[in-house]
Amino acid sequence: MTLLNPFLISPVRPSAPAAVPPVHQLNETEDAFALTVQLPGVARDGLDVTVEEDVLRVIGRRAWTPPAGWSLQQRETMDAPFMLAVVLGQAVAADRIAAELRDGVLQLSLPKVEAVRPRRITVA
Amino acid sequence: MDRLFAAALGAGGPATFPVDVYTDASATHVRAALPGCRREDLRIELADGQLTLSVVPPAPAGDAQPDNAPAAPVALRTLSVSEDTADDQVAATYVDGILSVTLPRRPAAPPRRIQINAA
Repeated sequence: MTLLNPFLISPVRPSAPAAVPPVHQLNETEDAFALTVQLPGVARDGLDVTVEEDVLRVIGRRAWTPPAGWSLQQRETMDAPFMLAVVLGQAVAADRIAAELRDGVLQLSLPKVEAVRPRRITVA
Repeated sequence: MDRLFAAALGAGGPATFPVDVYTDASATHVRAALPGCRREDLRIELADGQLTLSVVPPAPAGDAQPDNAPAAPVALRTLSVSEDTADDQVAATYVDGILSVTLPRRPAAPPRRIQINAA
């Protein structure tokens, strides 16, 4: 059972949402959680990853705007920023979290604190 | 493909993905949200006024593929584009998980004056 609990922190309005939850996936190993977040259109300078009071927040802003003279014919993406919040609880060593953004995908490594790691008992 | 999650891809056939289309005086511009793809897996095909964008990862090692069998796309979109697209000038970039395709239009041929022969 995972101790992490992803949830949307921003209210969503049907017409013009202030933020949208990104597609994300959480995996768990013995030593760490791995959180992968899809953020298409988000560059490094548009990404904020913070941890405050045991809550990990990911905010990704899409900065692209069409050049002058471009006329919209079909729109399926949104301009609203991506927002995701994850309650870390006491399971994650927040000071050892690592993040990498590549091709619109954020990879977060969330190492577990020693207390929640499974212990291997050597049988004498 | 791990980076396009099963939830986003759906089960069964190839997944779809959001696409924006713009035009300007000389071209059509298509922007597709395809995060986490390898550039070599992105396919762009233009035929008969149809633009097909797809993601075709290599078959996993050990998969038995019949000889000459085309690899299956994991994501696919087909769009109608202008018939006067200059096929040989289509260009694409892939930045921050967005595939951008520019499809220039051929300039309209100038009106041709027809000489009227004397009877």
